[in-house]
Amino acid sequence: MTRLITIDPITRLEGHGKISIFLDEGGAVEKAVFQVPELRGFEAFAIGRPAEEMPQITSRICGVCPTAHHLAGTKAVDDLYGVTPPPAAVAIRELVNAAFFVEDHALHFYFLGGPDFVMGPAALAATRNILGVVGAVGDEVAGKVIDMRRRVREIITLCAGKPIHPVLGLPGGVAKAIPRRERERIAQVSRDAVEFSQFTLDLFTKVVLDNKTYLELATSNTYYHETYYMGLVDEHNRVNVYDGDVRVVDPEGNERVKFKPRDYATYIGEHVEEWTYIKFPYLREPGWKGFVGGLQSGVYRVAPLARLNAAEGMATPLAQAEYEKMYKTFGGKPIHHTLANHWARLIEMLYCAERMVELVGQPELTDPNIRNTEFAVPKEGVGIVEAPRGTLIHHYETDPRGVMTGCNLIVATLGNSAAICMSIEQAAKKLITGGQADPGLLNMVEMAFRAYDPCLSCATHALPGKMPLKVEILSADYQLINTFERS
Amino acid sequence: MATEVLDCYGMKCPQPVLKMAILARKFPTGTMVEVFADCPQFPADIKKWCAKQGKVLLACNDLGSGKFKAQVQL
Repeated sequence: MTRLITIDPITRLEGHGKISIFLDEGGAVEKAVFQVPELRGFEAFAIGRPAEEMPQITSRICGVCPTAHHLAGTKAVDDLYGVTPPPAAVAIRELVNAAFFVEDHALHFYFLGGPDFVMGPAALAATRNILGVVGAVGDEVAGKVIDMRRRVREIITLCAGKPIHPVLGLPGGVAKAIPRRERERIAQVSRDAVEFSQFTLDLFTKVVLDNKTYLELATSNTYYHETYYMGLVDEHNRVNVYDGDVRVVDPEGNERVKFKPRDYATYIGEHVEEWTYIKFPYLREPGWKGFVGGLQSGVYRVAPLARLNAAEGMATPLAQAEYEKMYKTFGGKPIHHTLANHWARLIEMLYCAERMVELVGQPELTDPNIRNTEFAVPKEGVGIVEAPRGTLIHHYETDPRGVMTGCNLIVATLGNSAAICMSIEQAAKKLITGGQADPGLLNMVEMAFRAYDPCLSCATHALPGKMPLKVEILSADYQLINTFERS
Repeated sequence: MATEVLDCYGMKCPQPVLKMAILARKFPTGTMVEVFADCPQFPADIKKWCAKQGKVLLACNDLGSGKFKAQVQL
């Protein structure tokens, strides 16, 4: 007799998802499935819109990472119209993206992923949340977190018009220059963000790394997959979250391929399963081999740990020191332990804060020359940035008037979609035995996806012309009686 | 040679100049284009674009109520 355990809705992520765990007669996990039952459909209703509106339209995909969508869309229309933005515009865009990373990574650590460690994986659900964290770390720390995120978002507002759904990027530039008088204000927030990131890393060390149980959990094979890793890198193969080439390393840490954004479709394919709206991107070489890891499987991962694995270092000194410390702790590169994403995320937060300090020191940041209007006739454009949740790809095709005829979005979370399914099944199989699954154990299954910081509201945009609907009728004792599929 | 009309009312900059750039590739040199727009940035944008692209900005008139009309010879 098959028993079904359902976690619905899963919690502390962006969007909606569901986990179904099927147990065999002995109570062991036979299969676990991660389903995304929501559909946004942006790829379909972008058709017919003027391409230059895409940065605004796609930023509405999500209220959590609109900045990343806005910037990927802006870079795509740069490419579409064959226009190169002036240095000031590039600096402003990168500053906004770096600031966004700081506040978004802080959001995940303190609000979403952190409660599992600060309160404990098996703590009562009523306390395993931000309010529990506030109670545990104290009002002073909580106030510091809220204040830092508020001030960073004020910088985003200053540069991009609004804290969410920015009105910044235009084909060939940005909408407004940064006045010189604001430079010191941005510099102060940036310096404070560096200090805040260091404080958060210290807190992570005390709460997680100095806790033997947590460290054993993070380095155990409950959350472990050997996969390919992908991320944007600069000319020295260091992490860059705004621009560069896409670098992929294999499970042994060797560079498999490095390509320009325009060539993404040569290297990345998309697999579809009928039981979920989410797509499963994979590396065309070695190809889709199912939900398995290893050198022969095209499954790859994105997001903080993948970016650090795919790079050869960090471009800023403090982040580089933390990067070296993390790899020393885990015994070298690449790290395949999924929970190491939490540490990598904080290292990226520090990198982005340091990068803000660097950018605010560049003279061109306040240059009033912020737009280039030498446009070519549009046809096709690709824009790639790193979103906090991974490599984000926007690909637009238009007619000669610049009206959208095709749109493909490989959203950050999609890059991890196959790995998330694998991680959940693996965690369920390791943790649930004898048919026993208390809320604490089920939360530890959820921790397998939470480490990726998935954004499911971003991730479902394919509209294949029919709903891939499948209805399963189960009896009271969970026996499968019948299945209906829309054909 | 007929005068081409480009209605860019309701468009935010740089949309009018984007449309102008596309139009400029479609019609031969010497074609007259009248562009109507209501983005406050439009007069500066069209002036800059014409200067960079070697087109002749014959006039950019304020029609009142935030509306502008530019006459450009390609």
